[in-house]
Amino acid sequence: MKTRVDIVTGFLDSGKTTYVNTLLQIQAQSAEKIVVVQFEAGEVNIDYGVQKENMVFVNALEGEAPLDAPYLVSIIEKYSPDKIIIEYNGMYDVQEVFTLFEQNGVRGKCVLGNIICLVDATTFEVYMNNLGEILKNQIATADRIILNKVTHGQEETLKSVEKRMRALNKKAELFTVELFDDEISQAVETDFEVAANIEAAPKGRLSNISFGIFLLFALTYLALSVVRGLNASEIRLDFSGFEGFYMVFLSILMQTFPFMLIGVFVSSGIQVFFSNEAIVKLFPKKFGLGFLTAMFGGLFLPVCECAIVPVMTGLVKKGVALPIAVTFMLAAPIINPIVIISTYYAFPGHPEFVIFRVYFGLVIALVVGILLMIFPETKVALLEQANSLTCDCVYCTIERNEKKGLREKLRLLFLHAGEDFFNAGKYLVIGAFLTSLIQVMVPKNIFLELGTKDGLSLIVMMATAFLFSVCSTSDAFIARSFWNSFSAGSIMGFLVFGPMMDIKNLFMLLGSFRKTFVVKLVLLITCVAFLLLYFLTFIII
Amino acid sequence: MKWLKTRNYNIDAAIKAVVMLGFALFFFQTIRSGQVLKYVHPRNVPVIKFAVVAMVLISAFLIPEVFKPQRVKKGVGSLLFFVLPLLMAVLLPTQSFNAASLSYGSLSVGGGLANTAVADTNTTLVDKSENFEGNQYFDPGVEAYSDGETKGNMDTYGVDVSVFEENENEFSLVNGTVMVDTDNYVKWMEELYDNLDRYIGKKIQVEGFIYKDEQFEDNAFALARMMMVCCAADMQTIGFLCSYQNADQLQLDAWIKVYGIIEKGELDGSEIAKIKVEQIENTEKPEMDYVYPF
Repeated sequence: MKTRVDIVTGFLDSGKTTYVNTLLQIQAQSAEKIVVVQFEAGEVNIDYGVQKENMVFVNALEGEAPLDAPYLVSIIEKYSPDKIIIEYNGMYDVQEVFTLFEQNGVRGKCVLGNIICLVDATTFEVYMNNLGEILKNQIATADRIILNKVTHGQEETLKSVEKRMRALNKKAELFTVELFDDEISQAVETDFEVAANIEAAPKGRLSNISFGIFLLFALTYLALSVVRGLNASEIRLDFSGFEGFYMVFLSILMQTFPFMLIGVFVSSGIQVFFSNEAIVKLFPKKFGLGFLTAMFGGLFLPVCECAIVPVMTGLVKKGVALPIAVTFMLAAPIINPIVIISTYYAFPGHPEFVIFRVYFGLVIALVVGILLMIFPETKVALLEQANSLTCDCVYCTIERNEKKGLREKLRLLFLHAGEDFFNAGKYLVIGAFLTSLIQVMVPKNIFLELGTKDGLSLIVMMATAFLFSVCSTSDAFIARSFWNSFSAGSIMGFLVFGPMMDIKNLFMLLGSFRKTFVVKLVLLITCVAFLLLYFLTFIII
Repeated sequence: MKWLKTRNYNIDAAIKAVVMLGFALFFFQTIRSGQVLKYVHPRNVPVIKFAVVAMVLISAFLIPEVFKPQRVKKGVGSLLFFVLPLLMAVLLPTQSFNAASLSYGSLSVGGGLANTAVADTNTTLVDKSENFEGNQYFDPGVEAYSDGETKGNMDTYGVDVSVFEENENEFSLVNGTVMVDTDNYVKWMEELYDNLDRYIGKKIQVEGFIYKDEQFEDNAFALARMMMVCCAADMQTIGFLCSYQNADQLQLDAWIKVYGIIEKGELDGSEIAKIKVEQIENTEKPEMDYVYPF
């Protein structure tokens, strides 16, 4: 039987020791052998009153022992306990505990149980502002968060604290405790109950989810078998709508996943191989030069619109100014060499399509960027969870301080790419799902009929581009199929607006940025694009 | 299931690795069987190959992570978004679209002479193909899928990739006949549209399915194909306008091969090529029934 190790962490005065003490009172009733290891010089001492022969107390700081594999193993060998509780000073990096548990010697002997994080509600805001990274780390890694010292009449602040915690850690069980402080001895009784509740609370819903997935799988399979069986017995059902839907859905994913992968590799490459300073230097703070790089950077970073959102989010995280990153996001998918070539092939003998597409793409990107610069965002546009110093991905936060060799960097590159793929990919899947539904349910004729009406055709083509979410590397071929029914100007609307904004990019943006900013950005892009392109229709025709 | 309850294993990484490998396997299978062309244009195949390699590599790096403690607990729920399409991909058979299954099948009609490269065994001459019914299209889809698995249709794939190959004498006639096949279908259609006068009176052989539109005259039908411009999201019906005295007896969506003469026709006020049908042959729907432009 492996020893189970629970970690109790939190800043000074957050009530760690009090919590451990109440925990021990509960444990005193069982026959389990427990070792408490303190990496902390707290004001409250471990309550030796509950000490029994099956409990051992070690203060590692007194012996100046580091928390490392040999130390942990030596404790296990010396006392062979059933359970170890480590009281861990909040100023230490919790990540070190994980690194510890990655070592084979430790893995063979013990398992990591709960990580319990105590947070003092009264000082939360202050700590969040001053020790943000450390506290965020504590909260993000915890299984259980105990919000301590919550008094009546502060429901408002409590809500905001909870919200911020949930942004960092969606999964942890959150407990609020009125007073977990030894100063009020009467509270011990309630503390005891609370601690007992916390200890006994049902753990994670993970198995439920696995079960859910299994159930979904089984049900789908069952339904399909039934459907096939029915088909065989001549009871014909009309599935053409559904079949059309899933073929369209899968084909959009098949088409976009590869480009998306290219995109996440590019953005991960930026994260892993370039320092923040190098990237910011590439996109200089001086707006003139920065916009220039943003407009033409796409020539050298061939990402298409399926992948541009993760790349752009990465740039913002690296510290690139938001207007410049937005300009880059809008221009790169159009100035991408593959896109230029495919546009040229789709309209053979009409190079003006390529020229207008690139020209209007760049102009719109620049105008939107400049407007964002003139009317800057007052709040931080990135969502909190994405707003870490370098990168919010699990692998980077842990290892950011370590010096990495090339091999380690490659490992990070792939893990990071995988992480990005799943983060942005789910929005892509939702977008593709909606797009396929629209395609199957809305007759294309409606678009064609609307388009023949004067003035509407540009709007219709822009809406089509938005709803159909076609990848910019191949949308030129689709635009070409509209050529007979639509004017050149409105086709330009499809070619220029499509790569800048569509359903799947909208969802991906919502995954990393605040809602109000995304709405503002989408409206801005749409208006600028419409106005500029509307004038174009007067020039050509 | 106690191991599920500790955080000593990174379940998140495990599911991600499985999803990645699942998609990689699905992509690999569809490429191997040639079914990939039911989903996307051939020009996408190289990038999909890249995706397979990339996903396998990412999984290879993810798998060691499974045996490390999970640092930040994350909801597994959002991964369901990936499980759903993966289930669809694995469980549902690859389908072909016919003109009816897409609500926006707009027909562009050109004209041409033809030959059929697609092998078929059925040579009986029929006016009305009885064995093709509307719903038939779903079942062949299933068969085609299983066929692809058993025979390992590398050949099919090889043939279809030749969409790309430029034919030097692509507009030359064989025995005075315009032979249209899957590979040159769109090219011939454009050529006959652009240079119709050059081909008036020439013989043509072409294969496709029967499509009718309200605006057609009673003796007219279109010999159509589904054209994929980019991916299955933008299928279009294109076809040659044909005139045939028993056109009203033809079963919609049935696959036939037409032998005829090219003449001048008119649709919506514009001049297009029209095939005067001399002979109709019942054929089967080819496994790769789409045509790809460009």
